[in-house]
Amino acid sequence: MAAAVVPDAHGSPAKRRIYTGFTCPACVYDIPAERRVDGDNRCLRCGTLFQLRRFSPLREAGALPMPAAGDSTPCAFHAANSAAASCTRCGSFICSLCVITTDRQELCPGCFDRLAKEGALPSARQIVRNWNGMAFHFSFLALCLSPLGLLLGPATIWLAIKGLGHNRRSGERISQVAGWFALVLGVIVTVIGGIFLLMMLKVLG
Amino acid sequence: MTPIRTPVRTRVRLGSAIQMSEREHIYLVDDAVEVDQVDGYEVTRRRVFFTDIEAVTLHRERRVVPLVALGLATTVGLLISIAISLDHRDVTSGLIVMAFIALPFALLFLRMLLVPACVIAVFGTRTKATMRFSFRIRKAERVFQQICERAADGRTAP
Repeated sequence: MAAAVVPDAHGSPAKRRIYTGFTCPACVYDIPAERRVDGDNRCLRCGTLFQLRRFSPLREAGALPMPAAGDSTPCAFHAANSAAASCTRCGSFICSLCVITTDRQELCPGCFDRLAKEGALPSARQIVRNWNGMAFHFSFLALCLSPLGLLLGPATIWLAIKGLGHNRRSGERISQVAGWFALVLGVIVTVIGGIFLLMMLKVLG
Repeated sequence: MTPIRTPVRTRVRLGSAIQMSEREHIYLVDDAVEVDQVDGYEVTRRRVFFTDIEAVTLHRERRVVPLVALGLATTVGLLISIAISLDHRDVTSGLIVMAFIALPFALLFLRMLLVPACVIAVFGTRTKATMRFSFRIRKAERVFQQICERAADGRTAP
């Protein structure tokens, strides 16, 4: 499988390449399957020497649901199946066909949809905003315009708290250091802004 | 019905691949290698699940653009120090300037020229993760082993 070129709306090949599978890691040349061996390999086109470990991609086979016996609890969605777990969120009994294991939780399809829509499942989220990065850049703008510190300082602090809070809730560390830096700088800028305002009041008064 | 708090996931940073146009940070999560593609203030996330991995590669690579940039920086630093030496008619001031401007770039240039960066690529069935280690070569080998072990868990190689 080689990297294919995606045609754009006018039918001409666009620059963006879509991923289609294993190729040479340096030049994206499609190495023939018989030439791929575990250990040292050399690309036939660019001559790059690379170490390769191959694996056969697996899809985890879901366990077949057990039919509901006399004393077993039936699945809330499939009455004929025996429950294999209970939903971590709503507590419904669910069979092995229904259970969705994600983010260390066992969820029923309904709760999974709801939590994914709410953005409460980090592994189901695809786009995350980098609040800490925004706070970091904003803090420099605030520092340059420090006479307006009473406006820009709190804004920086708000952005940094939002970013750090997101990281704490999700267990991620997106621009963590930048967030703390922006928080400190935001406080400094606020103080500078306050001092500037006091000085202005003193001069005018 | 009280909503249950989502358990905090553990993400271990493995490495990153930083280029002129895009930055990618790679993390290890419970069941996958997670790629955070940073574009401005937006982070697009994708995963290469361990069960989807087709191949993992490790190779050494010299990138031309950083080498050229460092070479140019070294040359500029040297020219500045020579100009200062000639202007002041004193070698010492030129040497001091050279030590502070040209030498760090020259050392970096030599390091990158003599020891190529390690690049790890994880090929999944749907997507791919790449990370580059310019200085921490041993860490690259450790990460390569770690990913291979996690991918091999519970299955045999073809």
